[in-house]
Amino acid sequence: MKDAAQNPFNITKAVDFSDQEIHDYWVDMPTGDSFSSMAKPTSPMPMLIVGGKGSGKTHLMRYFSYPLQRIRHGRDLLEGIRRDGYIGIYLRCGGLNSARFRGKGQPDEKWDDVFAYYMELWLSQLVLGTALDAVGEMPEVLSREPNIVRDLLSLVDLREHTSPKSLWDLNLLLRGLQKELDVAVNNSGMTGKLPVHITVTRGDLIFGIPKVFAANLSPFRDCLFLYLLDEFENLSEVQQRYIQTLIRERQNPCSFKIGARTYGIRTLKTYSADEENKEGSEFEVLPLDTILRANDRYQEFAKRLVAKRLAEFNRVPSNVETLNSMAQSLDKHFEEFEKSPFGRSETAFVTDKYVGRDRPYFKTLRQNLEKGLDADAARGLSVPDEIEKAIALLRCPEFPLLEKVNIFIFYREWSKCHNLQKAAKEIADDCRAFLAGTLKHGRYQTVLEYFRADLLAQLLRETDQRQRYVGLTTFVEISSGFPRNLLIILKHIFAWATFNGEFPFRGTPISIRSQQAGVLEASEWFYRDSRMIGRQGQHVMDGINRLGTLFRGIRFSEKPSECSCCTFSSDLSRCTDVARRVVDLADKWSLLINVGGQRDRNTERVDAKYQLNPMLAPRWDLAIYRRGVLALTPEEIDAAFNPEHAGKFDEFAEKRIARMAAPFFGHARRPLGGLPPERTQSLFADGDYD
Amino acid sequence: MEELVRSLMAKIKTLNETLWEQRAREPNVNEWLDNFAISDTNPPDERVHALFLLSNFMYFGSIQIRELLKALYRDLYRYPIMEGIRRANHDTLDSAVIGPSFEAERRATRFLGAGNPSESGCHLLYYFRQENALSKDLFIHTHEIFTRVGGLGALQLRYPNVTRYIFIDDFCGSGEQGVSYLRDLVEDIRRLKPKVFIGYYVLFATTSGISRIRNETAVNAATAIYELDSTFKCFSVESRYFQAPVPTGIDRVFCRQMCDRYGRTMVDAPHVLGFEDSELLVGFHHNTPDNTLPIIWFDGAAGPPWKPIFRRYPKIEW
Repeated sequence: MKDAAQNPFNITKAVDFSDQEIHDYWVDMPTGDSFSSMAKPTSPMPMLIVGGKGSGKTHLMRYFSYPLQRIRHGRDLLEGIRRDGYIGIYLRCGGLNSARFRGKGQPDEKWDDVFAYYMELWLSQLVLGTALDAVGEMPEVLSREPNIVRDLLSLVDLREHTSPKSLWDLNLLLRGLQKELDVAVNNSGMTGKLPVHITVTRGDLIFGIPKVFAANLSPFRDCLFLYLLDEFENLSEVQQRYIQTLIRERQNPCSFKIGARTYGIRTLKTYSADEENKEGSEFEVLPLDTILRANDRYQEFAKRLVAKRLAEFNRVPSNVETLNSMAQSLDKHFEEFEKSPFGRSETAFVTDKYVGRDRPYFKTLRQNLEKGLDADAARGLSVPDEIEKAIALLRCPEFPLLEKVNIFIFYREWSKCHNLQKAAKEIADDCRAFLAGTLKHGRYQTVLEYFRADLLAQLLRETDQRQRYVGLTTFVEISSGFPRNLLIILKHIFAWATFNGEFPFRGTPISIRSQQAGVLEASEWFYRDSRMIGRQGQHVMDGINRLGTLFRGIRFSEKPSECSCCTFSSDLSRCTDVARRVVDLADKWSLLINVGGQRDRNTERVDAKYQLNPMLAPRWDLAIYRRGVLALTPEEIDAAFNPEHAGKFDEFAEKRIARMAAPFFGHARRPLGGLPPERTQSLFADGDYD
Repeated sequence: MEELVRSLMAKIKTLNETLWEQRAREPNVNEWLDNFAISDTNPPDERVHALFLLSNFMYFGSIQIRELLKALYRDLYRYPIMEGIRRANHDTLDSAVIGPSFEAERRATRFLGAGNPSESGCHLLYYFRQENALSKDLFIHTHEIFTRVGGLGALQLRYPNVTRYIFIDDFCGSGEQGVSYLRDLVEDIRRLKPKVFIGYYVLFATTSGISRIRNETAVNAATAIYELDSTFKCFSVESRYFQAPVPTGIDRVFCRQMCDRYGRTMVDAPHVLGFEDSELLVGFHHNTPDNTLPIIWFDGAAGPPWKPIFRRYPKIEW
């Protein structure tokens, strides 16, 4: 066991790991859906591995890199590479400092060539160094070396440089050329000159070295040279265009895996007659977080990831079996509320807290009914005594959750202008029958089933309690296919538990309050971390804030129209360009998660559907499980996401929430008795309950 | 108020994780808060005010102290000497000139702890030597400054070639202890060697304390790495802790009264808000100075039962 004050979840970025740690912390998907089968490292078809921050791109790509193959295969390295069918050459584009290759008074075309040449030299050294490291000691190399060097030198314009005699010399030559280029690039701003003599034709070495090695050395005969270019988003559009050209002009035995943030692919254009690469023809895409999110074994995988962290932290050897068994027992390390029929133990605090005084939701109901009575907007009630009678019928003191169900249904009836006395009696009958177990179907169960989480959330808020985001399963759900988000949540929970004097994962479960504090802190971190820089970033955050506020308003209204409201759909084609762009940016920055299409119930049109990233749910006390979908009009989307229309947002939001608020439920302030029953859509038909 | 407690606790947690060397976890904080009266329904609440004070506590852990010791040597000792060497050599940048001259100056220097060998100033010398890779020979005890001719005769300097005596200290609060320790000693040295350089270098000092050393002793230089001006005095009008925006529910006057009331049960006037009412909120890895509010460090050893949050080890001497 390491120092208890240390936190096993402290490192959350793969880039901070050593090769050994990448190996040690590697966890695969449960059988059948291995990462290899997703990323297909032996496939010659290039692949873009895209995903939001923390989706695991770097860990995955480094796992396929040669240093990791070396760790995995140990002494049987060459045999291991042969079995793998590939050798991985990993490069972080972030390390390039790509901004050096622009401006400084030099024309763009010149920079394009210089950048291409620089990449050629760098990747050549990487591939040459990697291959030599793998086979350097083999007698076959010694005998074939002159031929290989000769073949490779035919690709390089040596000029005044001495002809290298060995592969190591050749690598030194390439390094020297790169250094010369570095000096020229770094000084061009001061000298105003960029004296570069390009010695290699684009792609000649990148594709040539693997080809010559495969032709001459048996271990590489059927081996794919896999270039793993990570952090692609750090390259400018023209620089990406060069890589896209390499992808298009790819030659055997080479292929590419390109790792990029969702927003990071700036172009698919190439320099090959300005053609654009096409998905399916020139490359395929692995949308990592989307795939993880959709995988029904993501929970299992995520828990194994946690188990692995703990095993490494405690220096406990782990194999697949021990890891599985650890993963299965992890839930017990998190304190949870005891589950009981009708939520009795989860809501016991209400019974304790409000001894001898009215519960807050009845207080609010009474105030609403009094207002309704004054405005003649409470059909069936004509004198204050009748209010008390109705309230008495809705009480169910032992089960506060059922009281909330009763009140919710009562509000629904009220919004439909039904007779409230009659409604209260029917609800009371239903409640009694439900408790007795004689009511098996109908609205009572349905409300409880669909709105349980919302009603519990309301109950907590009304009684000044924190929302309950607790339990490992909940945290995995919140992470939504971003393993790093899970680690960050656990990092904060672990820190809170330690601060609170607990011994997380050693003995008693982590307390609910440590979990609540940790998840809230993680949510705040995510909110801050996801901020894009600049004005557009501000527009995105403003839009997200408005959306969160709207969802919260709905969830905590008297008669929420949607259950677990954290998703919206809309016909974005009818929105302004600005709003569309802001929504798109929010999606690319993973603040919104694209969850497919939603069929509009009136027009059959398929609208875009987005969920607010569950990492943000604690910020607005929202649900993390997606159920109901709020259909927003294009005007509402504009008001939320287009800064020029933002002035209308409050009005839209108020109008929408007013439809869910007593005593008028969005009706004009005139007697409800005079109105026909509201034409409401079915309470559940408008939801998406996947 | 609940939200304020939550945010103060969150701040304390962060401080505890990052700077306080895990010395104040929630159970320790709660135990300390139990010293204070439970709030009735009306604010102000003593515990919230105590929490607020704690959230502003400035703690310097082992790493920070070691870094400050490096800064002390570099900024207060090394750079000024090198500056002098350069000035004396036509602003030379030649390391072949500066290096040996500095080495000669260093060989003619002796570092001493200010105060009793059992006190923290001396305790830090070990780390000071480690961090700055200094030879053991450069360090002496105070009694080694002098010797007597023939063992019993007149007082004389034991190392006549020494041109600099540097007294190192960790903290100078009111300056009282520094003055009483240094005044006679410095005069005795200077009487025997009028042109000797005597420096008093301290990690932390209040502005008034370090001024007293300058004014009431014959040292050539008295300087602190980290000077605490009057804004560090907790309840002064210009106190940095009560500058707007002060959280709602936090009141400076109430806070002072609370500390004063408890302080009176712990120590005598005029020290109820820390030695000579310094009203500081400072603590170190190796100890908490008595200039800090007693509610922070008092351990109930000679007074009412009290659980400290950052204990002070030596017994109070006033």
